[in-house]
Amino acid sequence: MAQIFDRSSNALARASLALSGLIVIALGVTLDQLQRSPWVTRQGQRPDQPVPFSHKHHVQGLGVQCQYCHVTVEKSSYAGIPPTKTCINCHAQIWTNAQLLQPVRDSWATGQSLPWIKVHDLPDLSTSAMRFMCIRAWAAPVATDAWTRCR
Amino acid sequence: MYAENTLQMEWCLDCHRNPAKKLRPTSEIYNMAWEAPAPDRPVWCSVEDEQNGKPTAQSVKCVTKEPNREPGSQSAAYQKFSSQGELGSFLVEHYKIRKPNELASCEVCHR
Repeated sequence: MAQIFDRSSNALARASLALSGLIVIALGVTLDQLQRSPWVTRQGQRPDQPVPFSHKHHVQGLGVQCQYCHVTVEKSSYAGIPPTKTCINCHAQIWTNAQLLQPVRDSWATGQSLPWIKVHDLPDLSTSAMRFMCIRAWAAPVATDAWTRCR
Repeated sequence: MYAENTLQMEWCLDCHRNPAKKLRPTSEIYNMAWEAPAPDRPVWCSVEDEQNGKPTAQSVKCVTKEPNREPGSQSAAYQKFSSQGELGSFLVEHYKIRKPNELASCEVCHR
């Protein structure tokens, strides 16, 4: 009976061993990169909000204090999302006809909260590590760099 | 509003393993334009009423303008810092922040 595998099969078998190893490694690297990519972490992503509110404009540009809106930041692990009233304090006077602010005026007129989209959708805030991170990053003054992003 | 960081654990640990590189004076916490001290942008800090065994961030006072150095005044106690490294290790010491091996321990967050 003739040989089923000829001599070249040896090389093929060795190559397939090496190739399987490479595939396993490549799979690991790919999954690792995927896990760190913005596609999973949402880093750098900017969800569409009902009103295109800019922290940069209000804080750096106009000098509004953080605590003017985030009133519980020094007392709680949750800095707080301001009620529409906070916006209206100023926007009853300025930019009263701006189309961009129509949702704010509607919210003020109807009493319905603005449906802000969470940028960091954290798991249960009462038990997660993140909550403690926010409290402690505050208690040990680690700077805006860590804790303003607890929002 | 956007996600600036990954919020992955390595991001937390990055700071817990070396808090000195992120610390700033308590008075600058709300300063969005704060930059680390540099030779042309020094910070002066002094410590008052430090008590043992308490978190004493409030006992550290920092200023970004050179304090008056009149003889006999309190400002004689001010130290000058011109890098984040120097300021960071000074603040770690006086804020009484735990050592990285404790800060990066699992139960600090997962408890």
